[in-house]
Amino acid sequence: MPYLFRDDITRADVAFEASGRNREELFVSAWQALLDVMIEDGGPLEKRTMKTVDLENKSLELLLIAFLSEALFFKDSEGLLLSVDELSITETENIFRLRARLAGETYDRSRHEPGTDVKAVTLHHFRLERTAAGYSATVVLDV
Amino acid sequence: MEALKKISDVLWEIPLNRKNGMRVPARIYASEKLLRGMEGAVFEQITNVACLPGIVNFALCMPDGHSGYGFPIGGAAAFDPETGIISPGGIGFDINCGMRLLRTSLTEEEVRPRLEELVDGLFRRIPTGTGSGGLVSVTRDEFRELIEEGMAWCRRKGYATSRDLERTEEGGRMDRADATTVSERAIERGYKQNGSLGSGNHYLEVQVARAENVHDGRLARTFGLDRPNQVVVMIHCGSRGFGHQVAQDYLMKFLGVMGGKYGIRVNDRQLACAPFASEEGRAYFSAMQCAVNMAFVNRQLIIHGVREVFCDVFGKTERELGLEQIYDVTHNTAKLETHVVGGKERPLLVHRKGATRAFAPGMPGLPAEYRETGQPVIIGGSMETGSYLLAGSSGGAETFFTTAHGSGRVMGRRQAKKKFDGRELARRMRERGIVVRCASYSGLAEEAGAAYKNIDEVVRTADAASLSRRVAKLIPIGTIKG
Repeated sequence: MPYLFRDDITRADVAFEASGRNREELFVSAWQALLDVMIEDGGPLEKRTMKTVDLENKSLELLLIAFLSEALFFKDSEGLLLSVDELSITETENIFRLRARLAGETYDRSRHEPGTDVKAVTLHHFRLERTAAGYSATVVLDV
Repeated sequence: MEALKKISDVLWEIPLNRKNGMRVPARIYASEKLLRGMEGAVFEQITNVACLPGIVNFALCMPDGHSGYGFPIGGAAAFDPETGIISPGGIGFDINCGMRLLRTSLTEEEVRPRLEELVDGLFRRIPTGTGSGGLVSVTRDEFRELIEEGMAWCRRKGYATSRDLERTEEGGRMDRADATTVSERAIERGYKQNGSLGSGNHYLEVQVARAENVHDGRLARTFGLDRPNQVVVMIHCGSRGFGHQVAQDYLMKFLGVMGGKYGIRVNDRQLACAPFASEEGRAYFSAMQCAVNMAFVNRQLIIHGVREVFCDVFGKTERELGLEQIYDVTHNTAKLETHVVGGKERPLLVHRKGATRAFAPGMPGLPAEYRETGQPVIIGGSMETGSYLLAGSSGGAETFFTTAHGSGRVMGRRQAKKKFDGRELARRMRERGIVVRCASYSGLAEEAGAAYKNIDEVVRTADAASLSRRVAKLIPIGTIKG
């Protein structure tokens, strides 16, 4: 499992630690952890709707927060639950650029076991770092 | 705890020398028992608050304090509007998360035979949980009007009475709300969620004020609780995705200008802030007020739906059923208020995060009918143990008239989910006479009564510290949750 939930960081909210061999894997793991909070076992999601996301930031940390926040935006604005189909991150002139293709479907109470409605990705205890195995991030969600 | 100075049995102080950069001491209102239950992070977070520029008197933590992000939940602090800051981390993502209490003229004996039908009806009518939509559809342009007008919009559209507005903090409308300070993304994220409960610890409960739980009969009667076993409805929810996005937008904006443009350093990035008297600070203040208004509207539309369901189930009119709002309080705001500091009145920007305003008798801003009682204060407990109605008291001057907002968690959400089974919990609650309908049983497990502090202890402490007076405990008999 490229992520694990951390019960020692927060009582009122939800915290997780995600990891990956590279930046892309880290971002996908963190997205999957977030999805796992919003619906039980993160799915199943059928690929009925596709969305493309383009983001850029000077900070890889803030890029991850912005990326995860996209999941909350689609959930609230269109009732969509999406997983990551493809993702790439490039770095040029100290700016990180992310392009992601997301695929999923409208939340359907008859097929999806709901988890907790996430309000925000916070900066509290937020940490993204390089490790011997690649990258790791700690994220606290406001629920 | 060793570093805490005991001021009284319910008040503790962390002195200035505890942490570098503290501008004022931190004060924690708690019984010894509550204090022992608080995590170390609460003390860390409240002393971080004490370091913020422009803070006045003390960084305050209420009896239900527990660790949050930025401010602790249950945190309050007042800032000088000229020299101080405004911080989304001192308000929370769920701007104007709050409580509303509606009374009925029905008794428990009258409601019990129709309770299942009533709770079913409420669960069908009020959108709950993820991707839930809202009770009332509006266009994006109408939403811009709604967030500027607050509950006045509801009255204009026939969803609220003038009395509903009078019995809401700030009359249900913040007058500096300016939709041009809100991003298109925030509008897009929230305009379809008007009249929806959300999930987490948000709920709608049918409750009873039993005779043995009325602490102050005179105040209870003034608040319209005038018969034994009277049934009331309590709602806990906020500004949904719209408020969350407003907070996120400005948190990111403040991170960009805080250090470079304004030279402010904070101990936790979640405390990102800007001077209140700055372009960015004032823009956030206006956008935040839009979210406060949206939350007032959200709770009003839910109450409108509740009234319709009661009328359908009992076959009577709103007037016959006495479906009158008692009050609506906000939890997560920053407001410009006037308070006495050092014997002089001065304007202050009071941040309350998971803390309730509790104006004392005679204070301006209270409706005429509550001028002598003080502001009704609604404190939500766990879904198993009950909630409270209180009233503001003059002792609140020490906390800029702020008191607790809930019971506060003692157990993490995932821990609660491992320990309790949602379906089993619902069955046990039913055996105890509480009918539950929920969108998520795992979400229900997270909200088990044992995951929360003892609400009686929290409220007793707030009473003993003279922050607010107990009026009545309200026991749940029906609950709907996301």
